[in-house]
Amino acid sequence: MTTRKRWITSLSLWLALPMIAFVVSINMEDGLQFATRGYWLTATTVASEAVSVTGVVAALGATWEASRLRRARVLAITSRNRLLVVAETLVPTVVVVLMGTLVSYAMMATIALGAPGGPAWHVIAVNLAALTGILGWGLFLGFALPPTLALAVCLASTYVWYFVTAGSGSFPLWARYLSGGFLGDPSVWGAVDPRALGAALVSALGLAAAGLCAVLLRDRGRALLAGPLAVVMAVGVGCWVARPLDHHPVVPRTGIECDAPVGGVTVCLWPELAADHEALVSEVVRQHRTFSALGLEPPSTVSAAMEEPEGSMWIPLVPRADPRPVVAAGFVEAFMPAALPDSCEDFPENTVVTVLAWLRTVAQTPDHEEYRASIPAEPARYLDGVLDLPPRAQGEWYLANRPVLETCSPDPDTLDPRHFEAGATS
Amino acid sequence: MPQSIVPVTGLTVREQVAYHGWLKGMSRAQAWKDSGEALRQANLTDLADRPSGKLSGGQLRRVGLAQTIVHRPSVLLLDEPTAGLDPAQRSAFREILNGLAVGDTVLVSTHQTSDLSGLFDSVVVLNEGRSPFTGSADAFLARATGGGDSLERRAESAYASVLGEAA
Repeated sequence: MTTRKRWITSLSLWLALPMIAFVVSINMEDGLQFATRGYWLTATTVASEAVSVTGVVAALGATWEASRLRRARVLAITSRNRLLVVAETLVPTVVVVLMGTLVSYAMMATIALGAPGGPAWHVIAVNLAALTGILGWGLFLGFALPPTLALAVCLASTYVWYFVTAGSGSFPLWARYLSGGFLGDPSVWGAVDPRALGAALVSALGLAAAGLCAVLLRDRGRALLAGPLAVVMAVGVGCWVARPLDHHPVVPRTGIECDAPVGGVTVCLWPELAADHEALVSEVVRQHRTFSALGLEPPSTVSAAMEEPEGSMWIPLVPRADPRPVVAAGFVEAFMPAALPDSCEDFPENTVVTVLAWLRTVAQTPDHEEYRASIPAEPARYLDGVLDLPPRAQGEWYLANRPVLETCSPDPDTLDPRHFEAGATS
Repeated sequence: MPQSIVPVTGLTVREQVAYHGWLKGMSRAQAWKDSGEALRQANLTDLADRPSGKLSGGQLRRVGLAQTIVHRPSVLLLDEPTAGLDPAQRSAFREILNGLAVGDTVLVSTHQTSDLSGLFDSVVVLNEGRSPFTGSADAFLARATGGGDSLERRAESAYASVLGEAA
């Protein structure tokens, strides 16, 4: 078959343009808009989400080629290595799919260019393994089923594999990790959970094995049995691996380095924050002093890492952002407990709003006045009262009300700052 | 050559023949070059650029022959090469077979006793896993008990006679 003929009779070639349009659209509407900038891992994981589009094309292309080979009984008559014959027909599909993948990586690389390090090769490897796996699945269907049925089953199964698992409530949240896309959007303090990568890799191996069975086993009955068995076993193991994961397959990133203490405060930053290193350190030290002056006693080590060094205070610092507001927001987040669950029957609504408004005012976040103007009258009154207290009394007010923020309970009496005036003056 | 010839979707006759040359170990360039000669021998030169999916049964059978000989095998195995063809097509196919310039040995399996013609040297009759006759074509035809001067009828008669003796 001439190269030209191989290309123009390949289904993948006709799907190439819509595929690239989809990949560009997904990245423009999602990845480029919302992904963390200046962090290669995020750029790589978000780029790998294109597998939901490129994978469908890979599977359809492989099914098409396998159907052609099956119908003409090519594998039965060739004296060449069967894998070579199949690989030869898959060249256009592989090139088209790699092109789509490359477009996605190139687009997402624009948000990480200049950041330390480089693309997350382990994520790319899993991404390519996932594509190989779905290629194998397409081959299996093409060799196992009549052409029209094979294409229909291929389209339906890849739709379920990539979209229904991720978008339908009937599947558990971790099911989306099996396909190799949807590996999260870790911020600079996070890394992809190895279990998500492992689950995708194992599933890909099973799918690829099904394709190999269809190509290499001369006994059709054995191939039809061994292929699905490999898929079921591998996806089963993948489920077992991914099962503990929730909607965000991210683990804390490790390996942060700390500076020598400045003004009694040790600051630990990621290499991705190096461009704003001095400004961040001085702002962290300034905020640390501000909150210390209130009597809140933040730990002497402030870290951009979630869990190291031990005993440090984590503030979420994102790269390529104005240091002042990002540090201010980080301190607010550090002193504001996580949101209470929606299932709470009693919710300390005024306490949450007032404490948050007070933290924003103390940290001088850019939006603190806007937020103050948006809160209801009662918390606004409390906030004004707190801000009229001396600094130490304000800290006592916060410490007294903070436990309430972590419990499903009504607003406490301690929310009213008048209870702290006497203590502050005494 | 298999009994049924299925075209590879999207290929012309020559591309199909050249592709089979490659499948049998030839280089791409050599397969393309030799496909022209194979098509000539199979009397398909005029159809070289026609899509292989748009051929009649007889034409497809000749494509099958061309793709079988493109790599110049020393032994040709033809499985029911004339099954499903009308008498004229069968005759034409036999003529092509007779004119082939490849293959030291040609082995044809067939249920059509009428395929037996002057171009075969030996006949092996297979029946229920046994071989009741092995010998020259002349010796086989000598078993005929009727059929007159018609080669086809004599072959049928000889076949019936061999099977009758075996029973």
